[in-house]
Amino acid sequence: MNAQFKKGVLELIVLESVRQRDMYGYELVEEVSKVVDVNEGTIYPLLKRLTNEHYFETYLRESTEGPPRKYYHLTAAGVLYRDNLEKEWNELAEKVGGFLEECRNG
Amino acid sequence: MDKKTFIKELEQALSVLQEEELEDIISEYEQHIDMKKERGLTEEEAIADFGSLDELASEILEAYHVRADYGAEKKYRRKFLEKKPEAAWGREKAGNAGLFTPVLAGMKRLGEMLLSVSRFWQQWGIRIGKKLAKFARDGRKQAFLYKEEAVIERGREDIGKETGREEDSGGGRRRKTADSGRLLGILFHRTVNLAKAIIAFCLRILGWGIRMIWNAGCIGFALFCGFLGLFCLYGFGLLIVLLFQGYPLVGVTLGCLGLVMCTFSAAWLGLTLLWRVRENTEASQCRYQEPEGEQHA
Repeated sequence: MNAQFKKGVLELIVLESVRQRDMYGYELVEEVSKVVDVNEGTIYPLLKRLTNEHYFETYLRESTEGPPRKYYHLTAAGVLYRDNLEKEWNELAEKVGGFLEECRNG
Repeated sequence: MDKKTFIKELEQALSVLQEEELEDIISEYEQHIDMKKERGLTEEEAIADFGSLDELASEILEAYHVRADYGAEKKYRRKFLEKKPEAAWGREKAGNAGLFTPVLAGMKRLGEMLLSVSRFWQQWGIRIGKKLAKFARDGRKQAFLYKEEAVIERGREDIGKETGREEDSGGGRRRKTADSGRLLGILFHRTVNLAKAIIAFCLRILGWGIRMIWNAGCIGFALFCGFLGLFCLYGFGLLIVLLFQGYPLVGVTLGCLGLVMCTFSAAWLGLTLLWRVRENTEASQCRYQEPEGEQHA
């Protein structure tokens, strides 16, 4: 898939995944990888940025294996941001779809 | 690339970040690699999945709103600063000497040197002018810029050396002449730099001294006038009392009132003539309006 497409929707996918349930970094990477094939390294900077912008909060939880894991939780601001992104995405998809349809028919 | 080198290189690339943030990020990547290993992948494979390290680092820096080329710039500078001229010298000794080439090359170098020296004097003149205009305003910032400039200048010098080495490939004596010329140039450059720094420092000290003397004079004048004004105010009150007791002192009282206003105005003038380093902020303006209030009272 086009790398630019992926970059755009990656944020939405990450936000939605965390909205479903709190997740730690690696888990989230796996979850996202199911939807889009993405460079795993790029998700951490994204998480960092969303945390810095207060869309996520983080907390540590012990795990049975290895060191404690940092879980991400969606804040209220994050929910708003996610909804907004979803709306924008739908609008875009609709518009582009409509345009392509029109071209095919016309 | 194994985990250790990856982590080390990532740390280096992100060295501008705060310690805790850096640790935070690094631990995330470490954990990721460990988990990949648990799933049966090798370290190399896990790290290869991250793609190019430079891109990764620049994305992380972007998340912190740091300019991605910040570290790169530093690295570039360091690369040139670390190159020592001795290394180039050692290699040259192996070459053979020509007959006329050393003279020609020496002359060429001399010309280049003179050119750079003249350029320096020119820059120096400009800088002195700037200093004279600015020296009282922001000494510390100037000093910082100075240091930065010196670093860049030194970097440039080294680049010059590099290119110089590649240009002529042969002739030990020629090289020697050229290098001693260059060395002289550098020495002169350093000396001039030192002299510049000393002169700038002296100018700043001088500026500071003049400002202090001027301010002391102004404050002294203001204080003197202020106390004189208070004394006159006292006299004015006394005269008013006497006036009400029936003494013919209307003229003297009015004169005294004028004197009071005059002295307070003079005191205020002294305060406004203070040579302040910063622009007038609202707070300082409020502060200097106090004497005016006193005068009306």
